[in-house]
Amino acid sequence: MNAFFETGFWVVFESELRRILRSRRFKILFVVTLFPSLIYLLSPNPAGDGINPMLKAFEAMMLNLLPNYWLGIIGQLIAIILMCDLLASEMEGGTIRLLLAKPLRLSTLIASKFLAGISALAVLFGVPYATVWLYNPVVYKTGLDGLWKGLPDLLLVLGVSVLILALLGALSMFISVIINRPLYASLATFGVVFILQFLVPQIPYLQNAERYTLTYQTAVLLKAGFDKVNISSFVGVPSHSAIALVALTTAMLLPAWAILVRRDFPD
Amino acid sequence: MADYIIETRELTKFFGKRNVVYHLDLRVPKGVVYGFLGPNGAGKTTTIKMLTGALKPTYGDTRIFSMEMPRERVEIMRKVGYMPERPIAYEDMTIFEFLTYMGRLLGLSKVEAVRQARELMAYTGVGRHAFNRIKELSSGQRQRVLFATALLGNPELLILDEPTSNLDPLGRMEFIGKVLELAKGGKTIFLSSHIVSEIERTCNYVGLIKDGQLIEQGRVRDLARVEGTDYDVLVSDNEKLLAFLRDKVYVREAWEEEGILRVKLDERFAEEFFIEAPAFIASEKLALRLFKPHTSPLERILMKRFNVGWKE
Repeated sequence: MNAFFETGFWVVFESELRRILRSRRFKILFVVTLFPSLIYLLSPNPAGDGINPMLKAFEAMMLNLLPNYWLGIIGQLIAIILMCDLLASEMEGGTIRLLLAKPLRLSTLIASKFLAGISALAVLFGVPYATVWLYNPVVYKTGLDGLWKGLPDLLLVLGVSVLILALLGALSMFISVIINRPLYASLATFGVVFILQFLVPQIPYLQNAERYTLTYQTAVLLKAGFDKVNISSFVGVPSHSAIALVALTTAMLLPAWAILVRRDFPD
Repeated sequence: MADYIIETRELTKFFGKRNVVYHLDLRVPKGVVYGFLGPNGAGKTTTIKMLTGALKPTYGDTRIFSMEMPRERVEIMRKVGYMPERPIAYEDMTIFEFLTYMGRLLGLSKVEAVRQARELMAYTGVGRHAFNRIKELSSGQRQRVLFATALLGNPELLILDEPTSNLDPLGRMEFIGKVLELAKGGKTIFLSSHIVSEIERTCNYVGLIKDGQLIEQGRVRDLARVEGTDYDVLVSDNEKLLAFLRDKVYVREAWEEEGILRVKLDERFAEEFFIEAPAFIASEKLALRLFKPHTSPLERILMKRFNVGWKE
């Protein structure tokens, strides 16, 4: 186990995660993701005490806020900004040359940076979710049992967020190895995401094109565990969606690696 | 072949249609301090970037420690310390953090990386700023930090790209001392510079590059066979010596400049000057304070090969 903590993978992962978590940008983004939770704390609306009303309220809130805020345009933008910076800043600043002069494989570099970024995003989105989860048992007077019963829903929401954000992250990394300026890479990635999500559903020749948007898939994935609210109107199988998302994420990271291995870093 | 630490064959780099490095055959033997010398824009940094994996050659082979460069980069880099020409580093890290991170990337344990970071910060003189962020440092201090980075893990080969460009004169002298010290310790050092005096004082092996092509390579003492014809002399009575030299056949021109006699010799009879002038000085009981070629050997090679009086 000790040997693992001396691998290049862990060293880059640890250093990268630490640097993201303490950056000013992270703190600003944290305010943005925490905002709805704070509003929720100010205006709880208990429809009676007990575990069932609590779970129903949590699920209803997530079904609304996940597609519209946390994994909607704002959350997507946050993920893109954070993930585009990982490789692009190294290339823009020239520090990638220091890494190339170390016994570190580029595949290791991409994998560790990707996972560090995703972990940072998990913190960024997990803390607001956990805030609601911790606060609910107080409002609905369920005691510690409420925490335990609410845990599966919390984990599901976190898992869904990570799946969706990982795909955005992989796309960001793919674009940022081509456009190696963090700002332009973010803009380009956001442009691609915007076109895919908002323009593709408008194409009349595609049937049910809206089903391929991330927000729609978020709802489909939530079907895996949300049983207190009615989400049967969203068509799709959660496990299929999850597999497709993982496959797409991998499909983005592989060409990113292939490009990185072949390209020059003249800076 | 195996005695060469760095060996390139027809190393060539094009940026689009622009040719930056052309058919470069570098040979760096083990244990030398190799000075890679050339004017700005000659292709020094591009070559070094190819040696360290930041650029892929358009064609040509590179072998370092008899391993093929881009393919076995990870293995090669375990034994290489690299210092880039620009003080690039993670701006938000402290010096201590940066050095520890770089050390751990070499595969050092955390304890060992911390120990080496401490030691090298003291060695390069940035220990006082250990917990300052890199963005707060001057460019000279950054350069010291990068020098320390290159020394992490005690590498066998050091590749230093313009290592003194941001240092003050004292810092330069200190740096030269350290390079000589490291060379004595048996390291092979590949050092690029456009400053002749610096290369002259540190290197025993040089490669001259101009417009992307290697125009001369070898031991300084082998290349320096080019004799000088321009001598500086200082004796207790310059006037007397000047009067003696003025009508000699081997002297083309002699004059006094800032208290020193400058003598331009005729190559064909130069031998006579070396015999007669000292004899005259001795017979007149003049005190001889200075008797040396006006230019250094490396400068003469440069002037001959570059066809200009280029120096810095």
